[in-house]
Amino acid sequence: MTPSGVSPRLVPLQTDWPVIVDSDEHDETGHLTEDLDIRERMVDKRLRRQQDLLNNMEEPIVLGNGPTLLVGWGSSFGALEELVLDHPTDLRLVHFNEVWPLRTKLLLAEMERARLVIAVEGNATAQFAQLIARETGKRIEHTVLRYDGRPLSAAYIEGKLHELEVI
Amino acid sequence: MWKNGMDIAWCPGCGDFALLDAVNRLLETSEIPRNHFLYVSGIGQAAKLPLYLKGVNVFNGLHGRALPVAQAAKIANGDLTVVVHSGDGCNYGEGGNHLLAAMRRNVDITLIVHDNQIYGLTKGQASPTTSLGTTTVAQSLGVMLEPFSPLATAVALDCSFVARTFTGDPEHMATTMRAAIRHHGFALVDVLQQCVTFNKVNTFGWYRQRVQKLPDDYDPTDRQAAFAKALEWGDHIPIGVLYVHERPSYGDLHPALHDKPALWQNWTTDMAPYDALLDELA
Repeated sequence: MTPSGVSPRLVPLQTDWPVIVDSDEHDETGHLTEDLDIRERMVDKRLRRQQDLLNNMEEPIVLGNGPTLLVGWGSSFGALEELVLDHPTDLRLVHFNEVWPLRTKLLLAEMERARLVIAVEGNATAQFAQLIARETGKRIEHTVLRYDGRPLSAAYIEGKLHELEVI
Repeated sequence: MWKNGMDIAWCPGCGDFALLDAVNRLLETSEIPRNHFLYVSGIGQAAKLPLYLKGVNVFNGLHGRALPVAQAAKIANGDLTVVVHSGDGCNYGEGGNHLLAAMRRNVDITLIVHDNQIYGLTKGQASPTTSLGTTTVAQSLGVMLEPFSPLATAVALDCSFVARTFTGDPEHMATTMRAAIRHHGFALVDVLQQCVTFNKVNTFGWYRQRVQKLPDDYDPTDRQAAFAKALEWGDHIPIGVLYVHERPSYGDLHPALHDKPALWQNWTTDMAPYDALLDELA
């Protein structure tokens, strides 16, 4: 049971010791167990890894200087980058390439500063905005969602922002 | 239940105990040191077996996914003797396509299938090898699917070693397992095994009355004959090595694995030409 929750790595035949890997809950000798106390300690051990993950993850990408904040994630970056660089005084972008565990500090500061916050996502239910609401308690009311089977493009988002009279 | 100083979660009378004894005997008499063995399993009662061994490497992973791990471990680290133990559900059901791919790929590993023709861990549902018409907790009208024939499938795919044995004949089981491990290439051993709790049809006695050792003059290299043998099931069930096709294994054929195991090779790549190409396209 290491403080980080990550066990040291050993490869079979690297030493004379056998290496045991188990998908079931197991004790320190690698043997599966249904012991209630070990089970709880194993869950705690896995959860401890989140802190190391957070420490090693990149901050989200921030672009533009406008009062309207677009929140994006994943493969829509190219479309959002193109759009924000075209409208740098109207738009600002916070874009997450790593979404879990969710880094919230910079996002909350940007949401606080913005006049309007819009979640831009390639799904029908604003899944990332829901995740942000769950993790921070802050709801993003406005969305640009595309779910017609095509990827988000700068022109598509721009059209929707015109409808919202943001640009 | 306790055995060899271990708390074992199998029913008293389970066929897995005979298999565990056979594996322990094999490890005791093998010239290969224990820490050179890697036992891989999926999920199920059979899949617990590696955890009850001492001094060997173990990877107990996901249901139906023992073979991908086992093949990768052998390819990465050819010095390991890799043996998979898992059940008929895990290998013939959930892991079906992995089995087909593994037989074609012919990595030098051994697959021991504990075939009790039922899902034991999850309390008695029909597995791919449960006989037609058998009623179970989940198949109350009786099984309507034709049972899967592992050995006929293996011969059809030209699996390089195909055998069947029975937990009621420890001597035969030990000999067959040893031959499978010694075989160079992918070896399948289907072990007929009683499930005392959930399979009331194919009992220990049912198997014992039916199993018949292949005659001494049986030629396992004759594929047509092996296929005919593999289809025999009913009053007489042949046990022994049904089919052998000696041929190069995946490791023999793959040039990257000729010098030393993949794990210990230096895989750094000269990125300069790729960077130059990207610059040209930018």
